[in-house]
Amino acid sequence: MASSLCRTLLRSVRSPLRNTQRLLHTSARVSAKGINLGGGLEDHFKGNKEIEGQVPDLGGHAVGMERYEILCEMEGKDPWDMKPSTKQKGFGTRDNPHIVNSVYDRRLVGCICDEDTGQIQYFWLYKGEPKRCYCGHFFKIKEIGSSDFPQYPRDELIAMEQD
Amino acid sequence: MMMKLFMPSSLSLFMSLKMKSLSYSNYTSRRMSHDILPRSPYHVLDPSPWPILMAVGLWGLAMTFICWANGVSCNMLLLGAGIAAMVVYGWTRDLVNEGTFQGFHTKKVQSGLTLGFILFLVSELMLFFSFFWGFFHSALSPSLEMGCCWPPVGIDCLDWSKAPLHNTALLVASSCTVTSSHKYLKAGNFNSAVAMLILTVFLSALFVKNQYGEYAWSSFTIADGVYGSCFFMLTGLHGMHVMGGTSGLLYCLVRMLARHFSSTHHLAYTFAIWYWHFVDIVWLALFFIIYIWGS
Repeated sequence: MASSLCRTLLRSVRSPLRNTQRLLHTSARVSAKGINLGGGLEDHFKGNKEIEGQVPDLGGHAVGMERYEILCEMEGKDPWDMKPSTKQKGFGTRDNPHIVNSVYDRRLVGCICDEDTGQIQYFWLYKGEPKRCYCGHFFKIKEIGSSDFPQYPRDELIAMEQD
Repeated sequence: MMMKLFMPSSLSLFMSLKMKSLSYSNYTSRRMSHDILPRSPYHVLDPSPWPILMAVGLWGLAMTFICWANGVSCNMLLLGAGIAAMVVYGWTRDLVNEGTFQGFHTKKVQSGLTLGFILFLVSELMLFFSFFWGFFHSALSPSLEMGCCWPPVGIDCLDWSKAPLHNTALLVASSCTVTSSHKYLKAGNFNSAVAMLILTVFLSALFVKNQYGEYAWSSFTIADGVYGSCFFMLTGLHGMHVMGGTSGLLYCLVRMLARHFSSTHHLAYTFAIWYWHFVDIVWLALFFIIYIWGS
């Protein structure tokens, strides 16, 4: 065990900066062929070279989801879509339900019925009919696709497979 | 010891069958669960064997100690310690892979790790707090058996102005050097950061050597009444924390040389430095309370 540990350490000291293809024991492919930044994000750090004796900054060092987050923030885009959406005036009736964007055919909705309430009303919203929360507001799913999020990474391999 | 994660392939086949029943958009892959790129900043881990193996290893370690304490042969059980050591290696390796090489440690994940480490430091603080309580319980109202005075009758206290003061200087200096190493890393100066970290480890090695000398030449032992118990429990526990902190700093030194750290994202190093500052503060408390006030 010690010898293999030494070998791994020596290998990593000698190898160049940001060699992300080295260790792929576990999960997600973030550097394999086909996965890129989807074309919606520009890699601002492309072409930067390592300076001898200099510690790399985050742009030169980050990979994967972390890198995607940094590049989104540099371009002012929202990487995760985690902000709560506000209810617009006039919406919420059966004819004018609140539109909830969803990638799948169902989404968890948390309705803050009233600003001062201590509870959030959670329920599953399914594609199709509008659903009513206990407070009376209606919600409806609108399915969105990857074209609405150009900054999200797209898997070229899937696109090739679908052809 | 390359322990492959054999679980993901079978589990993910099962999960991919389940996924087919839902109509996913072209966002996600239909294949393996670990191919689905998450659209949230959180890190959903792949199935990992380390927690259960660590539990087994720790059980073996505990049983070994119990058997040793009761005089029962514990040769076979020592492999529990071996399992625990291997799990530490494998788990840390996976952590480094996921964070540094696969980029799963987004801001949210980093803040979660930070919170976890802060809670760990608080728990360590509580540990020392309890032993300090025990010390104050005896020192503030010395009983009849020790002569109603503190230090108790017959105890030759260590002179605080000699080795303990030297130790204080060493630890405070090492805190300074590790802070300067951190600043160099953030500024981008690689060679100075490494040099300062090596200096820190060297100073802490001097501290351990000093403490060993104190222990070897001490006129009283842990069995010498409540003074001995308190003194050696506190300084011994602190010494173990110093050795743990030094090994953490060495681990960071190795990773720094392997270029794992960037100038802004180096959580392991940040945590090692916090731990080192904690160790230093505990030593200062020890020095002023036990060595100076308690003598």
